[in-house]
Amino acid sequence: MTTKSPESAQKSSRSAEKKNRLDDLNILKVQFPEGSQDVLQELLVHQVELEMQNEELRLTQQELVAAKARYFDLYDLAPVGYLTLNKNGLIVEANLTAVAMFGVAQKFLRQTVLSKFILAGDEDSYYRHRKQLYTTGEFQKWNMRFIRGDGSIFWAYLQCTVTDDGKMRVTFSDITDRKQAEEKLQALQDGLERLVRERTDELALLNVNLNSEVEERKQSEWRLLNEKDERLLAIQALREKEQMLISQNRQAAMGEMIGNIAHQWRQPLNALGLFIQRLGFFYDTPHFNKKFLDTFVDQSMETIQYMSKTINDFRDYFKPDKEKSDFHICGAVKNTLSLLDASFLNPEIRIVIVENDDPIVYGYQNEFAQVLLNILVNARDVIIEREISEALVTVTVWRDGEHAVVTVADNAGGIADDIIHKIFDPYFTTKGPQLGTGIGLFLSKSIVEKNMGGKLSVRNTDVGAEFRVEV
Amino acid sequence: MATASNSNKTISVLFVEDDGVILEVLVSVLAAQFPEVVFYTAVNGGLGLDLFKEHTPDIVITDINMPVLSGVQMCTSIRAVKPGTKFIAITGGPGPFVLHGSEENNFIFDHIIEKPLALQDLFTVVGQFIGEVATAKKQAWQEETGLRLII
Repeated sequence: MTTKSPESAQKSSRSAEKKNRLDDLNILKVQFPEGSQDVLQELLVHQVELEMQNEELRLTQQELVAAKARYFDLYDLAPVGYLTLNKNGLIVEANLTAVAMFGVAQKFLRQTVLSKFILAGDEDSYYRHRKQLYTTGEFQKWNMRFIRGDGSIFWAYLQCTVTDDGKMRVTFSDITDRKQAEEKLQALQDGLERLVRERTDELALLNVNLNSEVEERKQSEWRLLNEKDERLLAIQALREKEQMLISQNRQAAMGEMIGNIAHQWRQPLNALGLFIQRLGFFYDTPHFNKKFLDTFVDQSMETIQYMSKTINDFRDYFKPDKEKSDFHICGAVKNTLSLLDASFLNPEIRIVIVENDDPIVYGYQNEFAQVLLNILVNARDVIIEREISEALVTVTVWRDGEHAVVTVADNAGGIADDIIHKIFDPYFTTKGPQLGTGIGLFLSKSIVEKNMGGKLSVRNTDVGAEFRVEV
Repeated sequence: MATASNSNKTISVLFVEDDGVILEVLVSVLAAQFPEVVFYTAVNGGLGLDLFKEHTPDIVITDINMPVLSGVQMCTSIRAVKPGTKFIAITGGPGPFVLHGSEENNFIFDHIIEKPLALQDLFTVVGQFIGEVATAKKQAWQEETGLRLII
């Protein structure tokens, strides 16, 4: 058997059905007159045909109802809005979803231009896409904003195709949520971007600041290094200055000594000159005899020895100490005093040495003598300046525990209270710029305290000043 | 040295010097050079002043820097008493010890000799002053007595 199409199958089943029903009715036919049997036959056939047609109609009607329901279900209740627009943009069809989305009654949709429902600013995109659609026939999709019946606005996503006869099929869905989410996201993103920008700016600024800080620190470091160098230079300069001061002081002391020597030599030279002149003067007189000649020789040589000793003392005194040695304090005191012999004679200054002990000290002997010289010369100068009569300088030597102490006390009236704490300052002098260098006591203090680890101080007594050297 | 008190004719000299050696040498040669002069000696200004008060010499030769009384102070006192006295100063040379106080005391010496002494210079000055003193004394005696000495 060949396969049949559904319609031909239907037809053949219908025919079969017809025959069956006819057969049923034919059973009834037996009870009626013959002449009417033909009419009856026709009527029966009609009835059967009608009944069958009715059945078919009923089935068709069922199918139509089902189809309509299906159509309704598929079209009207679709999850998206369907619209069909004619080529003028008029809405010819709209599904229920669309109606619901627009929030207007069905009748207000039909035969209205879609643009009526479009937000003013977005119309351009609608026209643009419609034109694109009609010219290219390409599937269009875009977002735009619709206005509902109550004036509220919603974002919609539209998809359109065009039919052969120029109609536009549109689906659209409400993407307000999505749009809002998008906007929120965008806002967030903008916010984040802004934050990032701000943060980046902050970091950039921070970076700049850090850089400039680093720069500053580098400069600081450089400055400090420079300072360190400067300080080292300064220290060196100070050391050099100190050396210079020491040699200046030595020179000043030397100058003092030369003055003393000149002073000390004047009498002997005068005497020697007179001895020699007298020798010539007495020759050819009764005074001139062997005894006189011998006396002359003795006296002259004595004088010459004395002058020679002065030279030796001067030379020994000014040899700078290369190294420390053990020396007797009393011996150093006496040596210094003998060097100053002549200058304490006129005007007469009495010097008394009191030796309570004879301590031995390990140090620089000549520098110590220089200190004593400074102090004694200062005492002498004050005595002369203040014209003290019965001037007296007392030098006392004794031992105090582990230390040797020498005090030089005068009766010249003392040091004024307002300057007594300044006398050890460098360049401080009471003698005026011509006579005083101001470095003698400063250097003495430096020698005693730094080189010999001792102490140099001064105080006023009832009658004058007392310097105390402790080593 | 003669210590006889002065007569109008005898000229006397006061020599003050604190260095004994110098004193001895100078007086010995001066005495040899000027045998007619009487010499008085002292070793400091105080003793010198005492001697002057006792003998009123005509000429004073003195060292400047001396103990007890300085040369200047001594001479100032003497000149106050006997203005006609001649003063010769012996100094050690320029320096702070020289003529100590002479500017303050406003004292002017008739002559200043510096050490080391040259004997010839000393003799010249002393001789000159002796001459002047002798002349002054003669005139004074002449005025006193109204007589004229035929010398």
